[in-house]
Amino acid sequence: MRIPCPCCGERDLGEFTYGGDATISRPAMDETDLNLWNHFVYNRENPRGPHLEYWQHTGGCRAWFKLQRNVLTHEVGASELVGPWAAASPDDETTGQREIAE
Amino acid sequence: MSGYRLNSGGLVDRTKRLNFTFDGKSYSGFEGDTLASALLANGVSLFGRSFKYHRPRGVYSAGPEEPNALVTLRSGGRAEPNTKATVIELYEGLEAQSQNCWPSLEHDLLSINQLGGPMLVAGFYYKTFMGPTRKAWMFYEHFIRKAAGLGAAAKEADPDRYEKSNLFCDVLVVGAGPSGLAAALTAARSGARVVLADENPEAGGALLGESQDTIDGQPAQDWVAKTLAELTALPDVTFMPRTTVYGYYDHNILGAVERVADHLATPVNHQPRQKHWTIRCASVVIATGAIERPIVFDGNDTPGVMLADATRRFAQRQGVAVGRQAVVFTNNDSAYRAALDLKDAGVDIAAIVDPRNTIPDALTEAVQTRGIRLLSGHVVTGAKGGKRLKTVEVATFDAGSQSVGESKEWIAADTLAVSGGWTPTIHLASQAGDKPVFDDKIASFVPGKALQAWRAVGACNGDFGLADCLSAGSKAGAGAVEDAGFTSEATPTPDVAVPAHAGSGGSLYPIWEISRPSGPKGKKFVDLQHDVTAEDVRLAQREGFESVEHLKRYTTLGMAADQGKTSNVNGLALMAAALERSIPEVGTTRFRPPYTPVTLGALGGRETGHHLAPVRRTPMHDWHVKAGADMLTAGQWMRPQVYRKAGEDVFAAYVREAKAVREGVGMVDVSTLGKIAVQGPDAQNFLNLVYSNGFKTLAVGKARYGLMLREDGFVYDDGTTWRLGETEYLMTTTTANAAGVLAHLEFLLATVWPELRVQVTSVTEQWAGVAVAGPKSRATLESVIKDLDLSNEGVPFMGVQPGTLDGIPVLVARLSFSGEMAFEVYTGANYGAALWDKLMAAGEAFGLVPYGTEALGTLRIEKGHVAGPELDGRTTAKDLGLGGMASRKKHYIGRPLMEREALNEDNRLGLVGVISSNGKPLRAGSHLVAGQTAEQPGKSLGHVSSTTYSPAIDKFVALAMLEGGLEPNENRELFAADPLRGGHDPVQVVHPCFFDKDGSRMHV
Amino acid sequence: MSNLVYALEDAAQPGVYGAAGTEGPGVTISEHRPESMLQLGAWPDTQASFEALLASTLNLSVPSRPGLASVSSEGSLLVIAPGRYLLVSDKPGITQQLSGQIDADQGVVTDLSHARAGIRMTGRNAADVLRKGFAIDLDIRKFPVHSVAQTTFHHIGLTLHRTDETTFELFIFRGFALSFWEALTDAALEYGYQVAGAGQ
Repeated sequence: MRIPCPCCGERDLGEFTYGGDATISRPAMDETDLNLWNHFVYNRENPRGPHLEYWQHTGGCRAWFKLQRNVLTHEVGASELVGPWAAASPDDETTGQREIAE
Repeated sequence: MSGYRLNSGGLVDRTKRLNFTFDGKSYSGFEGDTLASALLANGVSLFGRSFKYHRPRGVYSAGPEEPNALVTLRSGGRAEPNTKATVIELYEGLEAQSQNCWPSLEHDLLSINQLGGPMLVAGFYYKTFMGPTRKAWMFYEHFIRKAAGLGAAAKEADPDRYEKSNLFCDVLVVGAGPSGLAAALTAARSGARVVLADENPEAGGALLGESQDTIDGQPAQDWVAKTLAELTALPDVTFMPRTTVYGYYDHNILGAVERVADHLATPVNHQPRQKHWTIRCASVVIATGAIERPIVFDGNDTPGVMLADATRRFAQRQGVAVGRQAVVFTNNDSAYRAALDLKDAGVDIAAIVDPRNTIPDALTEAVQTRGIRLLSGHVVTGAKGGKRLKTVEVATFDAGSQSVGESKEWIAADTLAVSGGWTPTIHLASQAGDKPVFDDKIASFVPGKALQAWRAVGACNGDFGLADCLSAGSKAGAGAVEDAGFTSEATPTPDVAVPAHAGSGGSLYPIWEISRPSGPKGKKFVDLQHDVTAEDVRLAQREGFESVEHLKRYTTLGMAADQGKTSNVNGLALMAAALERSIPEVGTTRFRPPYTPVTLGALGGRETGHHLAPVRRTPMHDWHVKAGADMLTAGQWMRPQVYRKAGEDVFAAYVREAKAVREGVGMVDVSTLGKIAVQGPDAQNFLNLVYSNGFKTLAVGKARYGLMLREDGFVYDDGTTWRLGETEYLMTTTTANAAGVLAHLEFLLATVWPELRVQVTSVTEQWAGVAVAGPKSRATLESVIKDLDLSNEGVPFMGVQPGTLDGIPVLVARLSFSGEMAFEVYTGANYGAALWDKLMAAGEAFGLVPYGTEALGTLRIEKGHVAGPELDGRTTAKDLGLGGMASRKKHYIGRPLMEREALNEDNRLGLVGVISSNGKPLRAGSHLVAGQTAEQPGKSLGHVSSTTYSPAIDKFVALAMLEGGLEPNENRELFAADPLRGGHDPVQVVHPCFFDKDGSRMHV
Repeated sequence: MSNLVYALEDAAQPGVYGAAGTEGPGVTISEHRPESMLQLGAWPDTQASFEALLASTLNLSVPSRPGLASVSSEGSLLVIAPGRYLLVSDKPGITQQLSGQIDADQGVVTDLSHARAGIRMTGRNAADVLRKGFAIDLDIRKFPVHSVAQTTFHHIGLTLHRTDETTFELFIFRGFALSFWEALTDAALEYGYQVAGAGQ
């Protein structure tokens, strides 16, 4: 598999580490409802098809990003930097971003 | 003896004679021969014994589809079993051995299996030897495997190199036949980076050695040469002969093996024998051609029966006649060309047998002109001859009723050239595409819809005509470069002329199996390599193994080294007939990589021996090795376990080392500890959020022990964090979790607190560290560090101060893992070796002893400090007796779920110490039980996590996790049960800190 | 004797190794020992001023995106991530100078001078040797001079800087340096390689 890193462009799967479901939102630090925390830590959908995932380019620039990936076909779509530099992410052809085809 | 070298023709260099041996017997051939062609030219017709019945087998094809002529190539560590004689390029000194026969190929005792033939049907072994238990199979398996099989793997190490490399291009063209060449030419002219790979040593494919067909008025082989010359002159074209693209993976990544030196006796000048290429490209043109199909009839495996086109190819490429008198049996036009060419080359064609009644005029005329007997409306019903074909049985055939006539004729022949049509080589297309589609016109499967960026062209796509191949190839080349973002100019379609009798494989009458209306049924092979017969397919159907996937697994049809290249479609057709369904209804199995076998050497490449996996060395590594330390790997790091003195075992060494620390001074390399620079204005806030204990009050120049939880509330990691400046912190982690903790912190900064101005960077490799521990540690350091007050006031417990050690800049941290007064001394990694040397020298006066990880463990267990075995992902802070480190005053990662009810129940496993009551060593992994005997241990109450002999209290001790923890269990007598390895020994439950509970020794 | 011991001091023995050809060794490999390797990090809202400071201090223009380097007499500045830079410099005192100029509100300086081993490889087969381990396209049009990549070779993470068409500088985690050297030189055997003396 090839994965488009928002900073480094397309690289081999081996350079990346999967970081989990990116559709899950984390409760606020002061949240006391344990059900919300339970959902955040343990409950995951197991979709057949497109999925939004966290990945880290551990073997490269170490950026965390969100990736659209079809878990059925392995088709990979756009990747999007997360974190303080998300807004400043360069967006040209060198990032290897592609549109995912449905 | 019947094959021979023709007086002329072929691409071999008749001036270059090459000597070789087969089964120890010497032969010679020419440069340009394959092993198969050279043996055929020498009159050899028997190449091997079959897989199950040990029947004599000859050469069946002229290519990678070969099911029969498998040999072991080379000898010793270079021996390679199951190589196909049809693709082995001859070289001087080649050695090959036949397989699956004993004592010799000519006199194979196991051919007695043929007599048991009716018994050895599909599923025979499982039905007969499996029995109600696995025991019977386990007993018989050895003998069965020995009797039925292919070649044996070499037991010696292969002395040759195998390499792996990466290749990037815009367009990959697989197959350098007419379609592939046309595609590559169009693609290359656009300026794209083009790789053209072909499994053969030369380009040309079906045109290789072709002198009759013309393209733009020149002989086809001249067009091949001219096209290749234009391609290779372009800087962005790479032609890779002897390169098999064997697998098509996700995102247009393909695997290929280049046989760099397989055509040489031994690779020269550091060249690899084979090189594996991982090819990443924008677009692929699959031009892999087609493979001729056999027809199934009694005795169709007799040496001398072979694919019709193979007989032509041997003549055309190597100038070899495969026999002297041939019968051609075909259901389509393509084999006429073989008959006519062989006839023209001087081989007697006894008859052409064709089930069709109507045959194109051009063919009948060409046949009549040459005086060849044409038996239209006939089929071959049997072949006989044992080790070499002698006679062919022919009968009339009525295409309307599809029935074979009773009257028969025996025709003498040493060769029977068979063509049942052509099967497109759709392996790569199937791997990266939708289900293959059945094409009635050619009675075979063609590629389905592309699921990646590829185009299949030419024979691979069911187009067998040369003109069609060239125009489709060119069009695919244009499309492929457009996929890659280039614009392509139309290449004029060349003018093609082929002889009138060059018929296409498309005009066929589908016929799969010939059955005599009466008389012996005989053995009719569908899969020659795995000895699967037509009857086996029907048996599978009768027993309910109807789906193609079941058929394959039950009969082994299409398995083994050839993966059914010549047998799949026939097998499906027979299953369809048995089920009275159509072939597309039965479907086909999905092809998986590899297309042809790939050696383990090529897949492993250079990752063998000490290149197997990288190791991580500390700056002091060489010193440890020179000192004779036993080096152990901890993750990827190499660490000294013990420094054994003469006569010492590991036990004696670590006990001596640990004692030295308690009594005097020792030092240990702690460079492997994970270190993370945490920097920025919000660093303190950040630490306070990721650690369960508070970091707000940590002063500059001080360190604090921190406990890090996971989101689910369990303990993740621990370590000390040092405040080096207002906004500068150095976090240490366990060696094992260093990478994970960094990624965890980076994730939190990216997703939870992007507003925090904090940067985390691994600085593990920046620092070399030495822990100097023991009552004399201060004195040792004072003798070499002159610019720092090392007293309790100057560097108090948990203090961190910069200084200079005999010219080396250091950071001195007053930390203790051993419970003794101790200092950790850090310096830049390139100073590490010098730091170690200077400390060793300074310590001499104080009796300093270097110690390894074993003594390090002993010292920490004696103190009840938790480490990896206790931080196993199932323990909470409270379980570990660290509940006080879980702040109640702030929010931090893991707190909400740590506070859930289930993690705070009284009966959870809690940290305790245990002491062996009978003086026997304890073993990690043992269970703590109350039952007195191994037979009746009772339920597990917990487990032993870390064990050691404690020199400090002269007992075998351990840390353990016990139901309810210490309080209800203190001084209780339990047993450490180890049923797997044996052992049931009494222990006493005690406080996990075995030594110096009040910590007075480290605060001196 | 110097107190400094570099990661490849013992391994990088000058000499000629591997395949012999009429054109001589395909690559020359040496240990590269820069005086300083510093990671410099800006904050998103200080990036412009941070880069301006780097540009004036180092007398170069800061490249516009990760994956590029800029070189001056002061050193090479490699952009390794948004707002993150690796400075490789032989200028004495550069660490102190930049640490003095950059305060925490502006960004951070992380000294990695000991954390990486440097290797320089040059020669007509340099890209051929590297592509055995790198799954990145080293074609000069796709990876032009002063391109930078952080990637892996033989499971080892590293930073790669192409300084001219046939020369690459590699920065490897120090602990892996010997394993990497062994893998790299083994990969170079096929083309023949020369080991040159270490240098800055």
